[in-house]
Order: sequence, then C-alpha cells, then structure tokens
Amino acid sequence: MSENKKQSDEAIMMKIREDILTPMTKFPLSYKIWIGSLLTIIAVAIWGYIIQLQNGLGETGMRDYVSWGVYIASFVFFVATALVGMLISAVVGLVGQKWITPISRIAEMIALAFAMVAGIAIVADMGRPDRILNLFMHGRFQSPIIWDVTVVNLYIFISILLLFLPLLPDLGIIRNHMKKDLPKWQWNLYNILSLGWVGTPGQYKILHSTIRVLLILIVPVAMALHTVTSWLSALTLRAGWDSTIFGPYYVTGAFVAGSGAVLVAMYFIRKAYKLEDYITDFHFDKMGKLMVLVGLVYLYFNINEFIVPGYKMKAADADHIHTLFSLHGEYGVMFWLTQIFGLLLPITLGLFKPFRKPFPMMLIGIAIVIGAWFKRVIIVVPTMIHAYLPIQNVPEEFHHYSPTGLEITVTLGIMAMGILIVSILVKLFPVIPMWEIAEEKGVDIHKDL
Amino acid sequence: MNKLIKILSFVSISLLILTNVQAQEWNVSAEEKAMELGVTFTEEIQDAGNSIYKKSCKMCHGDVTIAASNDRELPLAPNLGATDWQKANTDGEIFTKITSGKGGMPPFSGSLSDDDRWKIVAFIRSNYDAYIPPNTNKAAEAPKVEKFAGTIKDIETIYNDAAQSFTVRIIAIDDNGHPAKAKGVKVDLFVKRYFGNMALFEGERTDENGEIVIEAGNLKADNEGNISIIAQTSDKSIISKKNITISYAQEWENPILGRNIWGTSARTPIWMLVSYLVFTFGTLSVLGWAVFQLLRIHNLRER
Repeated sequence: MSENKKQSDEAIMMKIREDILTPMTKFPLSYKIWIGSLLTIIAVAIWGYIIQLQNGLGETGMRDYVSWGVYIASFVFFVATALVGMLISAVVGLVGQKWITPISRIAEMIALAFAMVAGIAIVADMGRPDRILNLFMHGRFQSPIIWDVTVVNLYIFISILLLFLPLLPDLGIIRNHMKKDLPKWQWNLYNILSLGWVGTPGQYKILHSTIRVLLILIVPVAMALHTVTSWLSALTLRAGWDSTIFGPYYVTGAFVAGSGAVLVAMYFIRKAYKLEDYITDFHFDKMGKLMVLVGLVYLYFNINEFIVPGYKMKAADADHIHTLFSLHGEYGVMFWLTQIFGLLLPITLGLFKPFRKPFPMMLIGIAIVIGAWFKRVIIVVPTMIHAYLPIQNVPEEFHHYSPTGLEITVTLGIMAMGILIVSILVKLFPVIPMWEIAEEKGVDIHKDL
Repeated sequence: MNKLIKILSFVSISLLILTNVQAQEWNVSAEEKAMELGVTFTEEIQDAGNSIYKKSCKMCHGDVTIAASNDRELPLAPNLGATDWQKANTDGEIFTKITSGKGGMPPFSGSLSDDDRWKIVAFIRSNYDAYIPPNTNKAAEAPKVEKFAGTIKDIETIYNDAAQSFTVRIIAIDDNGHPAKAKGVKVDLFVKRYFGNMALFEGERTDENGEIVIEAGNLKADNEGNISIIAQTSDKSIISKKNITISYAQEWENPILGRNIWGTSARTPIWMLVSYLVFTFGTLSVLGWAVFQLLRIHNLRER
C-alpha cells in the first residue's frame, strides 16, 4: 500500500471520528433537559403505577367488557414500531440497497428499545403482575399468548445481537482513540465490549457471515412476532377481529409506523449531532419513498379489512363498522382523522419531491407515529364493546371506555421509557456505523482502525 | 347528541311495535264469535290439546296459569289463563284468533287442523273454572275419565337395570287409610340435563296398578353412570328427585382427555407442540451459534 493512500485513509478516518464520536462526549443543556423531562414523566408514571398496583385496575377506565385499553393498544404500537429494525436492516438491506447504511443503526436502536418496552406495557395491563410467573409455569402451548411471549423475547435477543455485532469495529475504534476523552469506566466498558476487535480479515469474515445469517433469521422471526400479536385478536370470534388478513394487516401497518418513527429519529439525531454530511437529503428522499411504498401496501390491506365486512354488514360487524365509519359513531372522528393524517395524507404528500425534504418528512413522520398509536386504539378497543351477546343489565360505564388520567400517565411513562432508551443508546454508541461509512469511502478497513 | 338519537330511536321503535301489535284490533265476525266448541270437552281431549299447546303455543305464551288478569308484558305473549280474558272471549273467538293470528301471532290455519285448534281451545278452557261447555256438546255421553279419589302420599321411581326401563308408581291411601292403587293420576318424568329437563313423558295417566312403565334405553349418564331424574304429578303437588345408576357401558368420549386445541398444556396437539419447539429452539440455536461467533472473534484478537 502506498504511503499516499495510507495518509488519505487516515485523513478520512480522522474526519469520521471527529464527526461521529465528538457528540458522544458532549452533554449540552438541551440533552440534559430532554433526559430530565423524560425521567420526570417516568417518575410520575411510576407513582401512578404504584397507585394502580395498590387499588387495582379499577383505577383505569377498563371494565368488564373493555378489558384491553390503551395499555394493550400501546403494546401493539410498540411491537409494530419495533418491526422497523427488520424492515430497514433485513428487507431493504438484503435486497442490496446501500443507502440504508447510515440509518440502519438508528432503526436497530428504535427496534430494541420499543421491543423492550412492549413487555412493560403488558405488565402495566396486568391486575396481578406478581402472578406473571404462572404464565411460564402453567402456560398452554395452544395459546397465542405463549407464542407472543416467546417470540417477543427472541426478537429482543436478535435485535441486541444485530445492534451489537455491527458495533464491534466501531467499539474497536473508540477503544483505540478515545481513551483520553472518556471517563475511565466508560472506556473500560468499550474495551470489554469490543471483544478485542482488531479488524483482521478473519474477524471481518466471521462478522459478515454472522450478520448475514441474523439478517435472514430476523425476517421470519419479525413476521412471526407481529403475526402472533395480531392472532391475539384474530384467533377470537369477535366483530372487527375475526379476520383472515389480520397477520399481514398488522405487519404492513408496522412497517408504516416504523418508517414514521425512523423519519422522526433521523431528523432530530441529525440536527442534534450535526450529521448533515452523513444523513443527507438523499436519505430522507429515499426513506420518504419507502414510506410511500409500505403505506400503499398498508392502504391496500386497510381497504380489504374494512370494505369486505362493511359490504356484508353482518349484525355485530355492522354495529362495529358503524361506530367507526359514521362521524356520529363513538370512534368515527378518531377513525377518519387517523386514516387521513396517519395514512392517506402521508402517502399523497410523500409522492411529491418537495415533501421528501427533511423538515416536512419529520412532520409527516410525527403524524404517522401519532396516527399509528390511535390506529391501535381503534383496532383494540371498539371491538370489545361490540360483543356478539347483548351487553345488558350492567352499569352504564361498562358500555364505554375512556382512559383515566392515571392510565394515560402510565402510558406516557412507558413511551418516555422507550424514548429514553433510544436517547441513551444514541449517546452511548455511535449512531452511524463508522467502519461501513469508511468502507464506502474506499478506506481499507482490514486493520486496526 | 348520541343520547338524543338513542332516545328517539327507542321511542320510534316502541311506537312501531305498539302500532303493529297493540293497536291493531282482532277482526272476529259475529258469526265466528257464535261458533260453539267443535270437540267434546273431556279430559282426554283437553290433554290432547295440552300436548299441541306445548308444541305450538308455549314458546310464546308460556305456561297457562290461572290469574285474575294477564300478568305478562310484551315481548312475552299474554297468559291465556287470565280469568278476565277467558270471560271476555267466546269459544269461537278463541278459535278464530288461533286460526287467523294477528301482528306477532302467526295464523295456524295452515299448520294445525280444525280439530287440533279446537282441542287447544278445550285445553285453554280447562283452565277456567266458570266455563260451561255448550249444551249441544256430547260431553255427558263421553266416557268420563275416572279420577282417583284417595290421597296421594308419594311418588316413587324404580329403575330396572336389566330392562332399561323406569317404573313410576304412585303411593296413595284410600279414604280408610289403607294403601290404594292410584289409577288415572297424571304424572311427568324428567331426566335432569345441563340446560333444563328432558321429558321422558309428560301428563301420562297411571294404569290400574297406579304405575307407568316406560322403556328408556341408552340414556346418557355422567362418567360414573349417574342420572338424576325427577318424577312428579302433573299438578306438581308431589315432586320426587332421585339419582339412579345405570350399569351398561357408557359410550362417552370426554373431549377434555384428547390432545386438542382446547385441552390443557399437558395435552397439546403433537403437531402444535412440535411446531412451537422447532421454531423456538431452531431460532435459539441460531442465536447460540451467533454468540459463539462472538467468542471466535474474541479469540482472533492476537495476530
């Protein structure tokens, strides 16, 4: 290798290290305020949860008929958003799209954080969380609940590995260059986590093949994850859930929610870390196109999901669909706002290039994420009040569901927890895979960088 | 707004029902009104009317119980044992109403013969003490059913295992206090089931020995062969419940015992258990392999 090449490589690496690692060592006031407010929300939520633990689920708006409220809706939302790790890294990555490199790690971090808090949402919904072990001791293999618990944990495990493995070369870089800039404990942490990475061709070979296997494995596991989540509803005989397309309906919906979350995260991380050179307008443009694509597929499933029962109007379905479609129905306004702002408008706007710029994409991403959460409420709750058997001789409050303040607080706390995990992960680890960027720029990475 | 719509729709639906069911008057001509009972007013005929009533009328009108006036409200059909109603209607009127129906009540002209409908009228009239059968009626000439004159003390049921039959016997004493054979007492026999009682017979009269024998082969019992039965006089003055045990083998498949989707965890269908384990452990082994690769990377740290 020529001396010139070595020098230019070193210059490129210097720039990359400077750009990506420097923000990790700085804790500006805005970051502190951000973390502080998240912690405050979580603290209030814990206080609310303690009240719920002491007094029982009567503190929530859930009653005999609506026994799944915003907690379970949030659970479905978190699982959906977590699927983006599989969409970005595996599906788009495996078909050979190179542009995902700088955002794949952000997607993985979101996936891991949201998959982890999904479980917390389930525990929040339990009246007796102390009995959770019974699920494992006496669970039935015939029940989708067991499949769901299994596959959520498998997905978390894969997500950790898929986040960690591509981090190895970057951890090696941090270990080599950041000893002076980091507190001792933090450097020690990276030192241990880097597993003695020195970038030999042998190490890269193992790394590449392992990542590839995991990327292939995560596709069926992620599909299973969200299909099983949909089966929690679809395997019951209920208006609005008794649907054969619930699996793909959930999976495609998850892609939309995940794309929205990635758009938002991309925008703010890029702004906070000044990563304009790495996450460019081109990436927003590409992500916008991907969002339109998955949005169209989801729209197709939405049309099937609502037109088919809406045409037939079987007795209980008719009640259910009426509350959704009619603006006078209990969920009519929420339904149409969700469909328009969470799906139709993002697809339409995303078709036009000016809207695929970073700022409008971020706004659209926020609309998608909020819409995605409300869509889960619409999927979970109205079905519960449209039972096949008449609901009669029960208190008036059993006929409707509206979450209590405490319930909303706990839900916000769980969301804050997910966002907090992402915020800590992006501070703790480089958000852009440095070695992959370096490789794209032609740097010889088969050495101790 | 929502509430208002609910109230409005409730009121309009109620009005619809009322105009259709209540306000519409019975249309019975004077001629029809004057018709006389078309059957003889004997107990035998009344019993026959009762069994038709059970099949065709009871699902809406329920049991006929003697009351001063109708004690039921819509959507329940009126109690035909209401004395004021019995008083207000002639035989011909009741017959015509059964024949042509009105609103929620279907016409029975097509499904029941004239004779059957008159029998129902006779049965309904048997619940009205002040009823006087028409003079032209040949009731007096008809053989009168002999009524048991003594006192019924008890009713007993004996199960004959070999013949798979029940013998229901009335235990009674005569006026002198001696045991007597109660002939002609109406008796019901039921087998108790989860959602009600299954009648083996209803309203049958005892023979000259004060007994009724009925064959009841292949009755379904519980796992231990137990069957709960209820024997009663039809006026329900004496009711006796009893558990019997059958000895013939039960062809009873307990759905809980198989490997089914609704079974316990220990009875998971094999295909389901295998799918679950293959998926879970397949994934876990790949993950284990990936973790092992980390170890290999670690071992390569020395060049």
